[in-house]
Amino acid sequence: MPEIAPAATPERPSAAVLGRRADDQPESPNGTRRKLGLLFWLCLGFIALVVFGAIFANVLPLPNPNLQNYSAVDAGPSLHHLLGTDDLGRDLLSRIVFGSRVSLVVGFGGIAIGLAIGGTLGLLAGYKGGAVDTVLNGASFVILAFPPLLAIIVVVAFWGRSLGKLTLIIGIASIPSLFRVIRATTMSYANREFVVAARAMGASTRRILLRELLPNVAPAALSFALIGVALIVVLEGSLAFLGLSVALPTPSWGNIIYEGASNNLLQTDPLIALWPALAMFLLLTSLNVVGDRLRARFDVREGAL
Amino acid sequence: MTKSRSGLAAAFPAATELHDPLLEVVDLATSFQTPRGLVRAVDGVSLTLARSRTLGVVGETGSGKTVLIRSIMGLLPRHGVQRSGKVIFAGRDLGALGERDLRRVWGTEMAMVFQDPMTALNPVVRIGRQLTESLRLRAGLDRKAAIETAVALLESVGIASPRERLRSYPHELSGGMRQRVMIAIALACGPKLLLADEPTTGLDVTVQAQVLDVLGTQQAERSMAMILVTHDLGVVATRADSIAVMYAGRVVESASTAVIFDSAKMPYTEALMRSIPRLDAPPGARLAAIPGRPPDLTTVPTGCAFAPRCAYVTERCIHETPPLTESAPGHYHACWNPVGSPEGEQAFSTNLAKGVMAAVEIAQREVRK
Amino acid sequence: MSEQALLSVENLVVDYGRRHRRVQAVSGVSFAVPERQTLGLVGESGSGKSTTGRCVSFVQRPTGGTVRFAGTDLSTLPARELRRARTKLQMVFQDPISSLNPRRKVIDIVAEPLAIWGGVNRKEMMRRAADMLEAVGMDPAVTGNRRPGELSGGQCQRISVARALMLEPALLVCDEPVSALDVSVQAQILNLLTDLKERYGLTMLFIAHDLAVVKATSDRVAVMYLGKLCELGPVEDLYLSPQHPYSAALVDAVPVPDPRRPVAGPPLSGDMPSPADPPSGCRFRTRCPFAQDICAIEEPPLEEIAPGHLVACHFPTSSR
Repeated sequence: MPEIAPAATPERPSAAVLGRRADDQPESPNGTRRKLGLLFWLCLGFIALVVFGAIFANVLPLPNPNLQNYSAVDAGPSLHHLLGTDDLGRDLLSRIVFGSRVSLVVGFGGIAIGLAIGGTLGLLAGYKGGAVDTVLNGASFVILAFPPLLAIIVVVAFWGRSLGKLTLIIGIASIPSLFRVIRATTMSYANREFVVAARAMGASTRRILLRELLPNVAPAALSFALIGVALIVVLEGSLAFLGLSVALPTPSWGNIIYEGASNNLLQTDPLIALWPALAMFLLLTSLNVVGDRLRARFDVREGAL
Repeated sequence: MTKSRSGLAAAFPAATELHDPLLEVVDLATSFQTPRGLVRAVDGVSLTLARSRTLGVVGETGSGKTVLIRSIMGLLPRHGVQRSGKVIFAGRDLGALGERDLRRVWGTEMAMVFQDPMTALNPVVRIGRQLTESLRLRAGLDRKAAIETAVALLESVGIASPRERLRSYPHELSGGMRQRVMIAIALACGPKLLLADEPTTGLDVTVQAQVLDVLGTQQAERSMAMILVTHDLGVVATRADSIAVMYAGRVVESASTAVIFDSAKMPYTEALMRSIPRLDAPPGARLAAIPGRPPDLTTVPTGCAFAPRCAYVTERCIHETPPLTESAPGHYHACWNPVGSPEGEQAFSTNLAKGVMAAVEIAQREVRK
Repeated sequence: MSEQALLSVENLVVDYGRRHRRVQAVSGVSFAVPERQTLGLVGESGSGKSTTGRCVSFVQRPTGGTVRFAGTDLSTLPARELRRARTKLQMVFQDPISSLNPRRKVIDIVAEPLAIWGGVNRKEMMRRAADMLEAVGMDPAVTGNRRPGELSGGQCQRISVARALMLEPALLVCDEPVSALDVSVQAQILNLLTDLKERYGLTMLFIAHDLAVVKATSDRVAVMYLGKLCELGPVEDLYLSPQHPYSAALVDAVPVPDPRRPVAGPPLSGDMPSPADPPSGCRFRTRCPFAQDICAIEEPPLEEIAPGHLVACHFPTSSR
């Protein structure tokens, strides 16, 4: 009906006739992203190294972690034993590499269980609100009210402490915290108008949760989960001190520190406890840095300058 | 008492005041280092503002108007900012003042009203305390005097039952009331200059009228100067003495308000004016929109920044940046083909024939009338 | 007239909150919008205009009253059919940034309605989404792969409009679509909506707080105050001779870009009373310059004073 112009006012003005368009600013989407930085890659590298060691510990040229070599007891670092040996002559590097399996399985496995259950429920509660939210939220408070360490100790003491059981118990214990984080993040998006728009278009609840909410919640969840892994690695250490981690002599970082700290070894050979503690410290730092940088990277800047 | 004195001063401005404006901004430039590159938010702006006058700064989002007034105040982030040029306020170069001296100027001599009163007010502190805090700190009043002054201030900005309102939290007030509280806080120490950054954006039109009125009366009573920043020329039409139109970090036209509305030279000013929906337009009339959007300030093109959206654009506009020139006393504009000039007429008819969008939009509106 | 109305709202009531702190946002609003017409709904924040819009587009369930779309009360439909019927009523929201998912690409956002309802392959989906982007004046090749955060408010609002039109709705509810935009961009979006209305034969409910904005788009205007309608009439009549004092105040409040116009006092004094405790009688009486004793006692009914022009006031302008 308008005689001169096309129906809709193009935002691209025809000053393009003169060789330039107002709409085509070279805003490369990559240019707006923050750089991850060297520290991030160093930290990611360390995590990858630990994971690699844990997976391929069997095929790496390492002595049996439980082999007691009485000709080299309490030896310092040497070419033969890169990190030295403990009071039973076991190779420390080998014990730490094999021990990382326990830390990683418990850490990542536990968080995976927590995310799968707590995350799903958190999304649902945050989006649905109302009675669903009230019930789930109340339940999470009840569970959080138990001191988690105490609850884990009780369960481990009565049920046993194989790696699988330990992972399952810690995973269940992490559900309420993950539920709460994801519920809160979901709630901050659930009332945004794009969710209302999706409902108005007839999208199902499943679709809204997966397509609209999950991508927005995921970065915060991922970052929190990595910190959660770090916390669980420390928790394993605490359990070992109470003799409630995996049964000795199976190495775990907690077990090695525990052994290194008993029998006055801390005075005579502090290196035994130092190495696993150092590994733990580096893994914790790396997980925190990676989680933090990833979150910052995926934080979408809403609105232009 | 103060009122009568300043009233006299307004009536018989001393000779020194004529030559000594309250605020003088000379070639101010501010740029930010961002991941996308250097953003030239303010690019060589010069302004003068006499005592108890109002300057309207008009521009679209991204024209640098907010950064301009923050640069004037010196309220910029400490890192990644480059600022050059001079801001002379009441005879002092603000750029030469240290953080301590600046803080003494803020609030007592120049104050600011922000666009979003919800984020500018502290949500967990009662408004009474937010108001009295600066009165006690800056004006040195005791508790009782501060409360009495606060009540008087709230009353003067048109808040009903001010004494009870002192006990309210910001979220208990409506948007218009919050903005009036913000104004009361800004006025608390009797500033000489009030900087209002889009004070009515996001408010209902009725409330907008109320807030603008409060600003106007307070300004007259206190003979205070004001810079009113807005994206809507309609807002400043009856409120400002002079207007500076900003585009892509520069002032592209400035003159007294009447001159701007009667004989705007810069096509951008004209376009802004045409895009205002008017009640007296015939129903269903097409608005003359400005096609496109302001340029990204990291990559301001050479030549005139408005050229890609302009109805009067010629080859020259793309290659040469037009300088800000004085065409009549007090009327500055930066354009090669000003509206109403022979060059402008020529460029417009050529563009209309070529089908340049901006020109077509204007012609279409004329046809429909 | 109301027989062929595409949308008819009868005695709509919306309550918020539970027993003790009950707030009535909308109290008995009735209007009808004939096919291919636009009704402007004007009022201040807190007037219940947005709530009315949300009920009309079935984003929210009313407490009482009926909303009929093409003659049927959608709330009586079973859930599956309601989901399908609802696609014919789409919304454009006020906040251009919050109404788009920040993590998805523009082209996917626009194609999403087709993805929900299926029936077309991905290639066809992308083609139609690109066509729609073109129709709202955006270049799919340039903007299609961007995310909303990289675009301006006006561009985001165009994408919202494109998304709303993908399912070929009959009714478009625009809830303050230009309030958050610069005047220059406002004009672009208003023109776009007017053009698209012609092109797709849309019926619209256009919600705004600014009468000047409504005037550019609407055929008829309804003015709301504290959950009630005060005036309903053709746009021309309403701004030339507003009958209700509140409509008159809204007309006066529009800033006029003319420096010679004398600065009148504020068109309205005071603030809107709380909807939790509305005044007796006429709800506007506490701020009305013409209020008499009767206004506090008796609520004025919405009466037709000229063909198609309804007013709820004891002392409308023409009778004063």
